[in-house]
Amino acid sequence: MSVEEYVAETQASWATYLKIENPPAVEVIRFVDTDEVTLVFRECMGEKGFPTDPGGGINVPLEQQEPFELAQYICRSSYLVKQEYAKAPGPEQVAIQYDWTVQFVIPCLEESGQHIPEPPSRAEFIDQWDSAPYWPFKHVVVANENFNEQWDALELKCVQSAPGAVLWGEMTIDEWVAQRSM
Amino acid sequence: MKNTLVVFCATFLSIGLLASPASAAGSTSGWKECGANQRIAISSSTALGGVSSSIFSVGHQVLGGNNFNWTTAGFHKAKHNKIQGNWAISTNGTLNSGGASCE
Repeated sequence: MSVEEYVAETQASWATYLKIENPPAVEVIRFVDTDEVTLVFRECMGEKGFPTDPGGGINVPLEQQEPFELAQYICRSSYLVKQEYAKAPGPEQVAIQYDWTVQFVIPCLEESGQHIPEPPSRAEFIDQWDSAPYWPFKHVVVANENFNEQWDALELKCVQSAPGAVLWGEMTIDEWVAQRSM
Repeated sequence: MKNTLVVFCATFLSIGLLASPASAAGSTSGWKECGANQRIAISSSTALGGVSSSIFSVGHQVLGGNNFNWTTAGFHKAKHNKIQGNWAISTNGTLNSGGASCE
């Protein structure tokens, strides 16, 4: 599939999902990795009049629902995930997600003061992936006060889903961590 | 009777809007009422399923309140600044579990 076809197909998928009947033409500003999408999306939504609060939420008054959906369409269409990562994951990616979970996510959460019970074995993790995926964030406990701020900070720090570059074999977990801390 | 109809229509319209996007591969919604000292919390567990990461999104919303969106699959949770209301979770991935609670 050419880049042009990928862009057209992905933007059409967003229009369908967000129920945008006559989607405007949107030029891609940048192709990004999966772990970058949240930040560029928030920045873009702020530029469209929907700023993200410190807890990761966007206030959407009832009468702003349609403009909100349109802004989402424009922002998701402006920053597409790199085409080489835009594939449905297979068994190999589930195994990499397991490594990501035990080598990066759980240590990251524990360094942040969370206690995460013993994770499932690799075989159990893979077996359960389609029906009941294991996410250590299910065990995260944060105080009621500033709950959203604390939760969002953990989500940004301890990225739950392996980034595309790791998932699709472009770099190891260690290389990704090293690159991130640069 | 007229008032009842207006309330019903408003509720129906609200749920329709809240459930948007209706084409979500996974969605669930309902009404939640909490005690005076509590707020609605929504949590969900999602997976990419068969979709590409380029078109993944999961959103939590309480009508007329804050909307939380995540761009990758996972276990996500947020507390909403509402004591009661229509809530919804929608995703174009796979929704494995999700719901609202009072916390």
